[in-house]
Amino acid sequence: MVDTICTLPLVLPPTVLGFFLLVLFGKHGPFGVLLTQSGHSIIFTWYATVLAATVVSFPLMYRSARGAFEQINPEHVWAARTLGMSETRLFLRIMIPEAWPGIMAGLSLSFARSLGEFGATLMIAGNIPGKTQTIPMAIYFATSGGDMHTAWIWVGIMVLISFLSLGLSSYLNARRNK
Amino acid sequence: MSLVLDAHLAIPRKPHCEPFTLDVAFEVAQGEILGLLGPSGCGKSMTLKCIAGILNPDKGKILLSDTSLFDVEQGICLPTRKRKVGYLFQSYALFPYMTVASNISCGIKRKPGEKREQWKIRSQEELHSYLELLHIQRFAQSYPRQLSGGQQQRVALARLLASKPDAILLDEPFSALDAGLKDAIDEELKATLIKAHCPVVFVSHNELEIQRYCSRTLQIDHGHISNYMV
Repeated sequence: MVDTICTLPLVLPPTVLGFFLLVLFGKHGPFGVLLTQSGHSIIFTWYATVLAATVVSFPLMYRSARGAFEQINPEHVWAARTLGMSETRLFLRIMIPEAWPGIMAGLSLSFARSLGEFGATLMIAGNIPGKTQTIPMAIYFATSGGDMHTAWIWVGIMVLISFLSLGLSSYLNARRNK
Repeated sequence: MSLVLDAHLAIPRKPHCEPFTLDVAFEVAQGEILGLLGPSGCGKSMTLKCIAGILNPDKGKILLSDTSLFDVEQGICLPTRKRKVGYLFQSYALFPYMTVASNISCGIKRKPGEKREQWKIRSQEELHSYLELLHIQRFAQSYPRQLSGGQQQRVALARLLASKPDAILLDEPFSALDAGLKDAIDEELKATLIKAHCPVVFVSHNELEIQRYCSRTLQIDHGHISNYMV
């Protein structure tokens, strides 16, 4: 059940996700009411872009990390226990380091997915220049407005960031396996 | 210090298959090396796993000196980390992302009431004594994957001894080694094990190996003790 809910954003169309987020966090939604009472608002602020990107990319992180933890050699876990290691130390010193490559892979995948997030962000954050406009959004509206020059600049920045993050993650992996 | 075991465990296998039952009882004295001999799948490793608390029997009890590790009637089942049972895995189970020194230090626990600084100094001293005991000083800063099978075995043994166990379990300790190497480390390993002054259970499918190390041997077949050899 938990597994299904955590994986659901991966298969749901981003607009459907955006719709649900809007219902939940909108003025009359259950979380929205709470937020309004405490004097905050998420919808159509930059917090909404963060929320949308997090929810949409979460399954990628969740699945990679889960896979990484499942791949841990059970003998290492048992060996640590026979050595008298506490469960906390076991988790921090044995399990996290062993699952680390998978966690990093999940991190770079979900980072890339967040950068490209469009549908859900448009639904709950809109496209307010200087406030909630994300790079993909800027590319879309520049292109549709015929401003190819601006679009090219943003496309270039996006490609550069993607290359850098991929390069960084493979560099980190190579250093680990040295 | 002695180890007493009386364990009964039924494992339901897949449908259309006979269930496997393990039913073993034995006692190992301090400083004694007891051999468990049998083909693979006979329940030798399962017996060790019961002692270490990786598996729990359905019935029976396990006693280590005066401590009850497991007792169905009294409802006792100590978690693995409190059993003080050293387990040498067939694959040695060294932690791949730690140096040899860190691997061994994992077993050196902080005593209750001991200050952090004191513990650090003591663990450095103990680390060096175990590195020396097993002649692995050279590899202290190496990673397990850079070592040969025999060297890994020494590291695993050093790590086990550093945790100061009250009983030692060896699960096919030589299956990952070349024949020549086995003979070379024979006598020394035996001496080290006896020096540890605790009950040792040695599991193997190789009769020669068992004869070399053990004063007493139990043969196990299909989960039951079938033969007793002195």
